[in-house]
Amino acid sequence: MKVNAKATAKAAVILIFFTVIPLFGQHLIPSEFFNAFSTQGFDILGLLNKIALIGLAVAVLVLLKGNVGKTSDRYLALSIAWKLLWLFIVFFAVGLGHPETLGLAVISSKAGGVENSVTFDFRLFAGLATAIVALMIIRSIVEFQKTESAVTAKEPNVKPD
Amino acid sequence: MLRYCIIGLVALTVALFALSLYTLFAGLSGAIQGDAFGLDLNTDESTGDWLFTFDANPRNGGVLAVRLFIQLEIMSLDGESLAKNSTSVYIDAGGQQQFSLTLLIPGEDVQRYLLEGQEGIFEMKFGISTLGDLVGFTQTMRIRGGAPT
Repeated sequence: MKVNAKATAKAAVILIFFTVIPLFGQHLIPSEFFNAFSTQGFDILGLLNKIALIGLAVAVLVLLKGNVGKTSDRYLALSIAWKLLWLFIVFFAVGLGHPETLGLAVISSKAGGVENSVTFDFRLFAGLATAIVALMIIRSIVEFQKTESAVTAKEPNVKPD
Repeated sequence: MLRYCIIGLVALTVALFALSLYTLFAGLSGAIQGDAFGLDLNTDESTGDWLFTFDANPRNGGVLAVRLFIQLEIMSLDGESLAKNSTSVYIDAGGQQQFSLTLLIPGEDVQRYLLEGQEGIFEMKFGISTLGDLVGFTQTMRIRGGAPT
């Protein structure tokens, strides 16, 4: 199997910046920094670990996509997976690190006799992103079908004797 | 055709995100700046009633209209609501709106729950939203404490 050097290089860069640096860089940050944010209800350590996981997923997809022919079924599957991953990243961003909230993020903190909670409502953008990704997936399928039928039409017909 | 739909939708999403985020932060900074908010507590010596008065004169420095929501509530420690009031105002882009909110706690509740070393909970809910209430954030602050001296 021929390995696509460009895709491998891209995947390596993504892996370094989004997985290796967040995972190993967190040991260099003083614990007071994490404590300061956690008292405000913001789990920076958990956020960095999630970014590292997303980086790993993106790197794997870039690597796989770069090594698959554009007319193969696997390319379509990877293309759809890629778009779904982007949707997940949008949910991750608008949910402030909590993609399961689908854009309705809540940050709570408690100090002494004071409880504070902030709710961010970005569900509109989660909805718009879902619509965009759905349209992009439909477009990918339509284009794949067009490419496939064009390739089939170019292939010479072998008639039996 | 589908391609242009996607490009248009992406452009719309990015534009709405930027505009609404800018409006929320500009609206918030206009709402909390200097003398925009004031909270007073007055006691009626004859009845013993407490009257919280919340005055606001927020300005919307954003590019879209915003809705501000304020709710004040006084509760006993076991969660019983003693007094609650809320209001919301709609402020056009670049506009300013004055409003006030009062909260009356009857003297008998003050005696029963809030005086003589007892503690109560003061809850303040502040919300700001834009794009027809589709985007926004709400802050809820609960302070546990005793009667002011």
